[in-house]
Amino acid sequence: MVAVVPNAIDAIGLSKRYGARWACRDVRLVVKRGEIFGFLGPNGAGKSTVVKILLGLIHPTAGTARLLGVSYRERAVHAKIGYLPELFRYPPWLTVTEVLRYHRTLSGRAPSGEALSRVIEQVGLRGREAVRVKSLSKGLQQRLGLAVALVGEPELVFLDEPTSAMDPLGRHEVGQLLRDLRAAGTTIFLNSHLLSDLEGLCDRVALIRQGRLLYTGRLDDALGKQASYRIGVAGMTGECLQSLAVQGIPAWVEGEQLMVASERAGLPRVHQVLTSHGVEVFEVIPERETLEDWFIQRVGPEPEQGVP
Amino acid sequence: MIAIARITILEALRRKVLLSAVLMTGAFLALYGFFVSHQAMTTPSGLPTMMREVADLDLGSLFCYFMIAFFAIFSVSGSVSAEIESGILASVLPRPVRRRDVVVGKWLGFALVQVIYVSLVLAALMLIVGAYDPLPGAAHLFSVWACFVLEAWGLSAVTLLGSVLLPTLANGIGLALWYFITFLSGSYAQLPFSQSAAMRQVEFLVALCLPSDGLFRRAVYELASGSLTAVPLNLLGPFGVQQVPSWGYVAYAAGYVPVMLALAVWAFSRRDV
Repeated sequence: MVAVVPNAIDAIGLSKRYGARWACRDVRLVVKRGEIFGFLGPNGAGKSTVVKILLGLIHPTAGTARLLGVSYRERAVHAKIGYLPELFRYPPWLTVTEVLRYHRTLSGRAPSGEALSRVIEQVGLRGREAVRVKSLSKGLQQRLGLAVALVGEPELVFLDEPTSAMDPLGRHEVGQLLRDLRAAGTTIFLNSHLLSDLEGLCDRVALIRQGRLLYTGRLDDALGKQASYRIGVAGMTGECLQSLAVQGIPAWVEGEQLMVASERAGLPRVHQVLTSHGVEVFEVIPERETLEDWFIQRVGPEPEQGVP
Repeated sequence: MIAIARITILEALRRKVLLSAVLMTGAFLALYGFFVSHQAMTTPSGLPTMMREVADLDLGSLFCYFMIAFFAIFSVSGSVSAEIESGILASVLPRPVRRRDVVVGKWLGFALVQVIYVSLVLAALMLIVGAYDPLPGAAHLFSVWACFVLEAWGLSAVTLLGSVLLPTLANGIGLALWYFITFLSGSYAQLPFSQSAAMRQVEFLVALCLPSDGLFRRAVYELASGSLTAVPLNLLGPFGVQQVPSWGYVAYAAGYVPVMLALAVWAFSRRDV
């Protein structure tokens, strides 16, 4: 008999109403174990409300959820969860090590020096262990927030805009850290506006707008299969274009480049036609809808009314 | 709970809450010491000396009463609300920590710091008075200490409840005003012309809502009766004791603390963060 591993998150009908306004309504989410799940939406869409309900910070008007197979109301399951809030603040009078020791204790684990040292290394705070929080830059405080989220060795991590205060190098390092965590089996629930970061990172995404889920699925499915390529060529001829057309491959020239409407599987055939006509190929650039294009297309301008 | 209490104590020390309170208290004690020594040197012996001692103790305990209240109210007023506003609690509450542990842990931390503060202030006061006059017995002194500790604990518990329900500034100002209303009501009750049944009932209700003033009156009674029982306490006017709060009332004040804490826990468990 095969044991069924419960999903990391199973949320059903999550709703929160403030007076006449719904912050989120009937949100249904499934996040599988070991995936990086991107939660997208414009400002005020209800992303943080959903996360806060799952973490027990906000009481939902309706709906329920299971985290790692256990009701989100069970405090015990929170020992396996890490969280970096969007507004990351830690007691400014504490040092880096003291903050981490405090949070590791709160997560129910012994504050061993080895565990603290490991997480300090992971987020790049080595050498700043004795520095007080108030003396850290915003970017370093966000790294500390990441360390706080990871210090309890969580199985599920909620990260709300984890790189918003970081420079490009920091964002790159965090991206690599998240990939490493995923490889180690940690599930990551990621809220971010930095869509370019999410694009190369997330296995699946959900899009929320005005408190309602518009899309949940794989990122590849959301962006569609590769449809066209921009090919840098030299020695392009009319005969070559004609040959491509005969092969059923739509192609046209844009300046010094050849545009080819083809899926990835058709590329060897394109290459064969080009070389048979003596055309030299320098580069092949995929032309695809970016996550940002997809996001803007679906979110569009905000209607003025709240969720009906 | 212990981790939260520990961090609360650390906060009081690192943010110099206790230090600034001790420094300002020291400034008062210097002035008070000068006043007491001056009185001792200029007052002839006999009954006026007894009056002087009671007046010194009354002034000292009044000072303790105010300082302890300010310390309790203003150190606790933002303990929950400010951490919600700043976002600090947003990273604590998703941990496997019950909200009850956060409220009670914070109160425990403050309670311990307040015990230290009350003990230091009372010890300094007694050293000053004791340099010139005999002090009340140990049992009376312990009763005074207990009354002031209970004052601090009750105020911090009700301020913690306010911190769950209100923004920091509104809570601090509201509690300070409420505290002064209770003091004024208690002071008015000591005046000979305020003994009607209706006024007694109002004063009683006010004293039930916040038992700080009643504890102060009991402390004054313990100080005076322990040293000079012959001096009528009503001679001290609004700062004296017309009717001594009973031990039953002190027990009520002790029960007030867990009730306020329970209300704070209940309110916090229902609050969105």
